[in-house]
Amino acid sequence: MKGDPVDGEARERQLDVARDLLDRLVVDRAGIVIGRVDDVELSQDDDGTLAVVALLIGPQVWGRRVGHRLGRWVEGIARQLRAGHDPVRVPVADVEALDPSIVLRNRVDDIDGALLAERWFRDNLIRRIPGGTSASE
Amino acid sequence: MRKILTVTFGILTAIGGFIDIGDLVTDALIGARFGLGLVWVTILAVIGIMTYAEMSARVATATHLPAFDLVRSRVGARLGLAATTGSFFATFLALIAELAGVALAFELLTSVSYLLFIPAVAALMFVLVWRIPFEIMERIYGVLGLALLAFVVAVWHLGPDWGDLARQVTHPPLPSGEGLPTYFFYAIVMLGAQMTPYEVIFFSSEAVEKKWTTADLSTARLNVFIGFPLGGLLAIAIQAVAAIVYFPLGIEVDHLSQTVMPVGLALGRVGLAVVILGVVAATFGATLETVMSSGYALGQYWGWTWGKTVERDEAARFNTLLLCLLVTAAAIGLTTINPITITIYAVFFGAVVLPFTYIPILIAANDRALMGEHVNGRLANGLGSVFLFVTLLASMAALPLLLATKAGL
Repeated sequence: MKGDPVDGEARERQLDVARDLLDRLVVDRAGIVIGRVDDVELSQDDDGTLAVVALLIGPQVWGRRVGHRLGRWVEGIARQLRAGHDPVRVPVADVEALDPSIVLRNRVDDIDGALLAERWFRDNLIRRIPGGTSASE
Repeated sequence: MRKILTVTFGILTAIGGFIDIGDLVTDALIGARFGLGLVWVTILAVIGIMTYAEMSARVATATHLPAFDLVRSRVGARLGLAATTGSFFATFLALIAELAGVALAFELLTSVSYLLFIPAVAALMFVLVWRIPFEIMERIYGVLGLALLAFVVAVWHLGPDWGDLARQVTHPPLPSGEGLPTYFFYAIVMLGAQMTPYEVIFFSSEAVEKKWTTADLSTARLNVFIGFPLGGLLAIAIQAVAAIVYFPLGIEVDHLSQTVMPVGLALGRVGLAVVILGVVAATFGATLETVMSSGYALGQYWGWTWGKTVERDEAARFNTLLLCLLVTAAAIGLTTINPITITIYAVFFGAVVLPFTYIPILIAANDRALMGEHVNGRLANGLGSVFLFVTLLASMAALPLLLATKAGL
């Protein structure tokens, strides 16, 4: 499946969504890992051209894409655990670079709903174990 | 001078890393049952693991991506999931076996039941993973693993008929009552014990986390090409002592104490104590490697922050997983499941999933756009293809043979 221009500048670029976008690691401006591209959001022009509008990240999204019983089960659980948070959605304008990982222009703290599980485990388990809090905090 | 030390430690770690509970159990078991008739599998396994350890390290150096990152991004989410869960499960089974192995080794030293050691060792593992830098631990158990050389010394001291042993290697004996299916079942078991999936996961993750350069890769190659064959020699020595002591008498090996007993026979109580220390070191190191590798497999597939050097609270999901794995492995060990049984199943399952761990590495290593100058040459591709074929064959034959031989009974 081909996609239209992805980066914010006017440069045209043909993309193979499956090869260049899907399942790639996504990191923020500081190099913090946000997750993997679990799915992409597409838009369709009047003439039928598809364009990638946003990257979608999270087990909820992954489950829906993978499908079958396992995927739907994971999607259901993830949706429950995330309790109202929408899936992490990264507009393509925020993408700075694509190779070897997808690097974003912004910081993970500015992305809605990112790293919910990571932060939950950090605050409720890891930091409660002696030695779990790093010196930088 | 520093470089020499680094290389020496690297080789020692490779030797000890080759030997784990899977080897200690299967080499003794097979030596007792088939003499040295499966040494050809060890030779094959050493070449195979050298090929793929080097390849995965090279891919990790060139792409800065570890094995399971590539599995998902190159093979896709669904197939990647199958490969990841397979490797994870095989490595987790190995973790249970290694943990029980450390506990058993302590039982041999102290005569206190291994069941009491399991929770203690698991707790110690967690403390080490939590607080101690990995390099220090690696060096300690790397050096202590040298104690396993007692097996080689024991072979010498037992004064075997060398001609007879050599004949067993070249003309594998098939004792009465043993069939070819059982022979090949154990060939697959030995292959799985010596070509472990977790080795490749661990190696490539290390290369990524330490941001290896071409210079680091050269050092790693040295460690692999010297260390693994020496490890293979050690594995043959374990088979040999069992072949010398148990095979002529038709004694079956079903306990770890029997693996080390021939060393006691040859070298007395001191030799026995030394070799058990080596067993502790080898299984200890393997427990650490399997718990980390299990975490790497899942963490890399799902896109978590992972690693030994990141702060604990910066890799919360990863560290939570490590904790859960240790607790679960200890709990399963405490059900008094036979450690030998779980070891056999762990190495067997490892043999089944092996090709699925290797295929993405071979594919990635051939991608010139990805690898640049590090792309596979003819030798790597030749050996890589041969061993992919061998491991695929073993993987396909594994389940039928398991059923046909009733797990080698």
